[in-house]
Amino acid sequence: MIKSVRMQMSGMFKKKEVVLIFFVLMIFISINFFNNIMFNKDIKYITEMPDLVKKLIISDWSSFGYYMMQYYPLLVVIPTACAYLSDRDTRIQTYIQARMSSRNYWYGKMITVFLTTLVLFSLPFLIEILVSSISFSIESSGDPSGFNYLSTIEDEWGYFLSDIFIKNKIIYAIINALIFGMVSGILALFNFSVTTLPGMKYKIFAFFPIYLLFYLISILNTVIKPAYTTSYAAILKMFNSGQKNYPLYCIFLIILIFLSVIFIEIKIRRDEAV
Amino acid sequence: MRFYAKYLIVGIVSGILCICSNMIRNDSVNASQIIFYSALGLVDWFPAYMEQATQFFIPFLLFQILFGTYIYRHFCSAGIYFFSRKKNRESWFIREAGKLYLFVFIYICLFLLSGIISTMAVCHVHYDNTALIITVYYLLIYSMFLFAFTLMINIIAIIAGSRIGFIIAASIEILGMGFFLMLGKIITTESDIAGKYIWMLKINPAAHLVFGLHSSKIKSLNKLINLKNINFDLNESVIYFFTLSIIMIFIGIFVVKKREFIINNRETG
Repeated sequence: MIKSVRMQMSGMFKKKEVVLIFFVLMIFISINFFNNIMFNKDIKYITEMPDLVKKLIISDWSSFGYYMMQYYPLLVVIPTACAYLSDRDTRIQTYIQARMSSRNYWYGKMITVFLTTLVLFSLPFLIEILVSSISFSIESSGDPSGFNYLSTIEDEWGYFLSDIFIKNKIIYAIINALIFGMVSGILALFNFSVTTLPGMKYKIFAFFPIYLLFYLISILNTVIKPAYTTSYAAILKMFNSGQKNYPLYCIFLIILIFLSVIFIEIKIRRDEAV
Repeated sequence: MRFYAKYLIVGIVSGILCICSNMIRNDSVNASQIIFYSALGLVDWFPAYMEQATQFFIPFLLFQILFGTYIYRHFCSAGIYFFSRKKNRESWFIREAGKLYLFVFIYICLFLLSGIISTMAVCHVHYDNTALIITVYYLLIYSMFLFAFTLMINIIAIIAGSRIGFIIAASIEILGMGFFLMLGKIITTESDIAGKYIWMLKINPAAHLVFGLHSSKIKSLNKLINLKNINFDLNESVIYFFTLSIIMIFIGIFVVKKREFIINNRETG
């Protein structure tokens, strides 16, 4: 299994889609970073400078983060959507499965898809945290709303993992970047597992599952009108003020993982029957 | 054609989910209001409306994914056999584009019909005179928008593969919608949009889909849609997407004529 994961990961990171998405995310981050530089360059006092964590691209305050989240369903599946379809069509799947068992291939592929997306969707944000920590003062505590610290301090206790934020905001940002990567990995894994179902003739169909999933979630939101948000943009971003239900989100992600395993098991059994 | 006909069921299901789920809390509603709502009528130019806009936009993205290979598939397998027997590629392409438009039109009709019929099951729907006029505009604008972008995917797919085709087309649509939803930060007064910023609406394909920004010379229709008092006639959107569709057809004819047979099939290795 480890051999399968190692082999498939080394191939995955060399794919042009993975490199492309990494550069796209770095472009978003670079634009956000330079925007922050332009914003801060005329500020004389650190107390007036907005909190550097609140100006990161995965913060709700970032306008470029807003555009990035518009493209999020597309970005999260591009690197790995065709992980199976490409192997099937180039027949490389046969060669890999000849060297290891079918089960090792499939579970190795699942782990590869998850880990690749995890790295791809957390590394750029970690780089941004590092560069921002060096460039801006860690002691800056201003709120981007412009209100003074005493007016906004109560909000800070309402954020997700607020205890960590109050104690060490850099650790808070790192944890959020890793959570962002993990959620992206699970979504990519689910999308990949659906592409193993029959009917996926063309590579464009690999985009179907993710959009269908978000569509059904938005419909559910309209019908049930829950008290908490179901928008992925609101859930994944830091400092978003909407009501959240994190246990439910965790259950949803576990269900996605469970469904992914079921689809892959169905595929393995179908392959074994042939 | 029969193979793709089964995908039209997505339109029926989307219509029921999308339209009915939004109307379910009303006791009675006018048919024109249902169409207006389906045409992003209540979406305003602020990011808070992203979810509502996305909900009505995704069914069209799903159609583009499913039909993005409608013309392109002929190049995928047995392309040499197929095109060596087609003397006139231009007329072939125009015929295929025509069939694609037919699918687009049927999809949108099914989306609307299923939505309205399912809404009738949950609340009282009044037919008003404005319903027919707004339906005609909806069918024209949305069918040509969907046709132009689906044809774009097919054309780009012939050159670079279906995945690239969808990524480019979807990126343009998402960018347009993103810019539109951020307009509220630039437009602070009513006079801004009537004056110097009107061009931001008129060049953006996403803005042409939002009926709540438009105006009409037909009084009853204008009363329903002209929420912002902007001089942005629905006919301009019809012309916009019609022009875009014609441009796509000409580009498609050029690509199909110039493109030699695909030797390395990007879809199946």
